[in-house]
Amino acid sequence: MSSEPAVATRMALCPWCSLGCRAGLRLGGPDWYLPDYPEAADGGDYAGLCARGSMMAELTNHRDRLLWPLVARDGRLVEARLPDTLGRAAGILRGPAADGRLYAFLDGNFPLESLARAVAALRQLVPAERVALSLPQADTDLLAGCETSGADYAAPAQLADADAIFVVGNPFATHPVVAHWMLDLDRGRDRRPLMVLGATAGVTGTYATHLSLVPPGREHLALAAVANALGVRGCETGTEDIDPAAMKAWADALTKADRPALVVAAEFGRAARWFEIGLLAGEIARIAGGRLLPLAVTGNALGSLRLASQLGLADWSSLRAAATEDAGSVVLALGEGLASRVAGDGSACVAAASLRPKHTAACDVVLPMAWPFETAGTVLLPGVGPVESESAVRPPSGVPALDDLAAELAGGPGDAVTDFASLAAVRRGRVPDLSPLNPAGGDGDGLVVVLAGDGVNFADGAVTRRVSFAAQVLPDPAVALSEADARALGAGDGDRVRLSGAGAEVTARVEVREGQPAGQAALAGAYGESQQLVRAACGDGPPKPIRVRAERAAAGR
Amino acid sequence: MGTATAKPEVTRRVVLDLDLCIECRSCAAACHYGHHESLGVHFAEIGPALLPVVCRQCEEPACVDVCPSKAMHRGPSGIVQRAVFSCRGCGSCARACPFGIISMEMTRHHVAKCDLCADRTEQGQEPRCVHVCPTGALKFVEESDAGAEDRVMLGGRLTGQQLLKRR
Repeated sequence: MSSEPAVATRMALCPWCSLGCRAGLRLGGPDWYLPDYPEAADGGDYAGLCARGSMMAELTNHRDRLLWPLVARDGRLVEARLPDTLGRAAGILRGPAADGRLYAFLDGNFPLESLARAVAALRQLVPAERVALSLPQADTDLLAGCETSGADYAAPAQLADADAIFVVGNPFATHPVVAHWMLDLDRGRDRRPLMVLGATAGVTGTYATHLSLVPPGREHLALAAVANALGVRGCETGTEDIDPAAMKAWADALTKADRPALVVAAEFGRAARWFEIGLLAGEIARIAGGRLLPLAVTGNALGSLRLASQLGLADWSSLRAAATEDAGSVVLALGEGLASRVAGDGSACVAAASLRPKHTAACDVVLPMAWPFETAGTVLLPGVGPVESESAVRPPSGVPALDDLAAELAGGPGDAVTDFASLAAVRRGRVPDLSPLNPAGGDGDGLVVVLAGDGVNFADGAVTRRVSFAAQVLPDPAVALSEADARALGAGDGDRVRLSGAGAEVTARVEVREGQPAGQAALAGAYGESQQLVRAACGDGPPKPIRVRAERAAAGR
Repeated sequence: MGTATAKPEVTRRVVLDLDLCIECRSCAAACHYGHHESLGVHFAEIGPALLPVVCRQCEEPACVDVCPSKAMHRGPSGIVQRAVFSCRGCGSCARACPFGIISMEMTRHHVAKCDLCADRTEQGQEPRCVHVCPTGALKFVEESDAGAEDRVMLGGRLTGQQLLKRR
């Protein structure tokens, strides 16, 4: 299937987190790739590779890999020839229906050169204010907050030198490789403070010297209390959910440290005020004389955010709302899983994806395209700066790269930006919102559920649900419950419970978790059922914690 | 029936530092993708902890003794392996394994079995599970060194002490 001619190892950056782990692909046989890893002697960035990184091997030659275009015919998508389909797609994009109503969305997790060339080409069809680079909303908001704070970023390796680490979230679950620098290099030293603040109990908390679990949607208030103790004005929260004395102790521990570091993981639960979390964490890092390491779920989130700002592109969520509300618009969606998120009813949609789409109703044309790890280029990592990533493998024959595809659709390349060293930080003059993010479903009985990420299932599940390892290891959603809640439901580890609210329900496997606060539950987010629960409760708005009714489900359901 | 005809020659073992395992399943994913999408790393759920378990390369492996097709055998390097084309998938080895680490799940007609990543270890590299482990919880060490690791300070706790209570 692949056009790779010889056994070769190339080290690419894993695209599924901002730590920038290197991994290669090696031919294990005809059309069969094995993950390959740098040896410790090969470079200083050796730290391992989590389950997400290993998935690259399967996605390269996935059984659903899209190798030919698909076009809509009689309500079905059927295979077609690439030149014909490109012509048809270009006709839709340049036709009268697209005049003034064309919206373009690109997966923002590609290398900067590829994004810049693709945007430059598309600018011949559509103005910048109707082009957006797509990133998970938590990534965008968290990084915007971090950037606005003006804090210095830490490279992951600098965590090993920190003498106090303040963690927001559960990065050992969502970004496991970061544990390499937080734990391994601590050998032989005296105890150093590891402060963990989160909305759910998690494996990171088991290593904490200071642990504070706050109700979902109030993590930013705990950070505000720490900032307040450090003298930041306007951070008086006065909420009973936060213990100011405990947060004062955390602030004291930070000020006593010579080299504190703050680690903020965007994926630990998507229902949070991410901008405020990033901003406050950055403020705390600045005042404490430390550094900040934001952990995003997309590898080039920082580069993509800064590039979009420099090019004057639209905000992704605003443009998505505009496109879905504009019945009769024409939508271009270049990225895995993008079409189903941005094409509204009645829109014409030209899409590109790496895997054959599962839900095809929204698309008129689906073109094949390369994965991010099949594209060489520059990635901007927080604290590290621009890093060159090789392509792990060439895309299959006839499968275009993102920028080549954009140029074909637009009728030629445009005039692309090439200077990525001067990409400026994105500063947003937004006033932080220090109100709690209250659960959808209001007050009352039941559990408050926050969606949480883990090391296997991540983002919106568009990729995860297609790979065999995730299906084998974690085929169903799991919900973490406190012992008290599990007992009240008559459920134990491995039993199934049904969580229902706002007209949707999820049946999930129970994980009784020590330290999980009663009344709160963490549900794996990257499953269709979980996503439906959020959409039912929150509509198209930002996700919130959700109040649900819980009951034990019959075995096997 | 197959028999263990050679003295064990495996002197390096995969060992797990319980205090460093963050339950990320990186080891399982590397194993899965390194072995034709079958899984040689299994997990023991002990209370709240999830611990990766790999083949212990027994001196007298029951899986070899019970294999009716001599697919399970000790290779020249001492590693207990399964011969891909001889395995009938009967599951005898999985039932015989005293540690429960051989999968009963049929994967391409073969029973999944840890072979210590023979393709790597024969070239002096570590098994995949060890190599990708972010924290160094999994180590590939000489058998004689396995018990002589230094104790490590983590968040104020010593490794190896009250492990299951801690987790």
